[in-house]
Amino acid sequence: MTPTEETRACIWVQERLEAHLDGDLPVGERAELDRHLQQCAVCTRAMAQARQVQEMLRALPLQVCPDRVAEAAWNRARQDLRVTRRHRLQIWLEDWRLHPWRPALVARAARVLIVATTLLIRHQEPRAEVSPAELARAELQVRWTLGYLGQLSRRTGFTVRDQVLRVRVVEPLKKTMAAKAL
Amino acid sequence: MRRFKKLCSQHQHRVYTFAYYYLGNREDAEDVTQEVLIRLWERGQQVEGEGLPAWITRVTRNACLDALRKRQSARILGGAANNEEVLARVPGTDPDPEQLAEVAELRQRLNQALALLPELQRSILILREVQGRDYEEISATLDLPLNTMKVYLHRGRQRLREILKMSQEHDPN
Repeated sequence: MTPTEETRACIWVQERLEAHLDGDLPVGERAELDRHLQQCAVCTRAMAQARQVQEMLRALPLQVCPDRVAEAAWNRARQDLRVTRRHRLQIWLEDWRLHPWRPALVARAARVLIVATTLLIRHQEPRAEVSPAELARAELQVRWTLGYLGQLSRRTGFTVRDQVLRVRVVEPLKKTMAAKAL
Repeated sequence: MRRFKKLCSQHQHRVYTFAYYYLGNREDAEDVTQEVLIRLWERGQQVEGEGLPAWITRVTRNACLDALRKRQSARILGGAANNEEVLARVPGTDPDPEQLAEVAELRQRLNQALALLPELQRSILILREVQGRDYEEISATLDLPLNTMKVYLHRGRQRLREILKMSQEHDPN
């Protein structure tokens, strides 16, 4: 091989060293490159250097992120959540302020429910003066009211169960029944 | 919130590693990592499932680019503890001070050489050689055809080799 041919061969090989390292060369080129490496000390040295650089890169350690970095992100997330909840509550209150008929309607429905429930409870005690027709009517009113409140709750997001029934019906009922048990 | 914390613990070290080797110092890497985690909180829900790691890598790289533009980063090197770790991976070695110093110097040159690479080659080298991601993942993350990505990888390593050789010739000690 003339010096020019040798140089050209070396240039050809050195352009392909990295691909050869990764096994990305076609079979024919791989064989030719290996043949050249057996004869050329310069390219063999270059191949060894290429391998060394790859090994050095792969030996670089994975870094451990300090905890304070993630904690700062969590704090930001918590702050955003607080703002979002406050904002939602403000929207909800504003909505009720703009539609004053809603609280009145809910209070009326709750009153009907309380009356109907009280009548039902009285039915538990054997009293001849409450007729079956009255009971059936009371039951119908309770069902109607519950259905209506359910719809209203879905539309307004107002939890009648927690803010009206529990306070005005369930708790007094429990007290009444506890007192009767004694 | 619980889900967000879980995502942070899954991805923060990887993000930090990329930023550290990309930018070359811990302070900038911490800033970038925090920024990426906050973006994950703000927009992570819009990217679900398998697309999330690639999205995080893209956001990290963009944040590193922004950091480079805004700041003049000082090159600060990794600590001695990391050098011991590296030597410990080589079987039969018992790290001594001279070896540690040699490893530290090699790593210094490598970090400096990485900083001199074009941005895309540097990104690909970090993803492939440091973090061990596979070709298809890198190709998809950077939105590059597979063969193009390999060409950048090979050129990047070749360039790194040339820079290290020049640096050694300039300072043989």
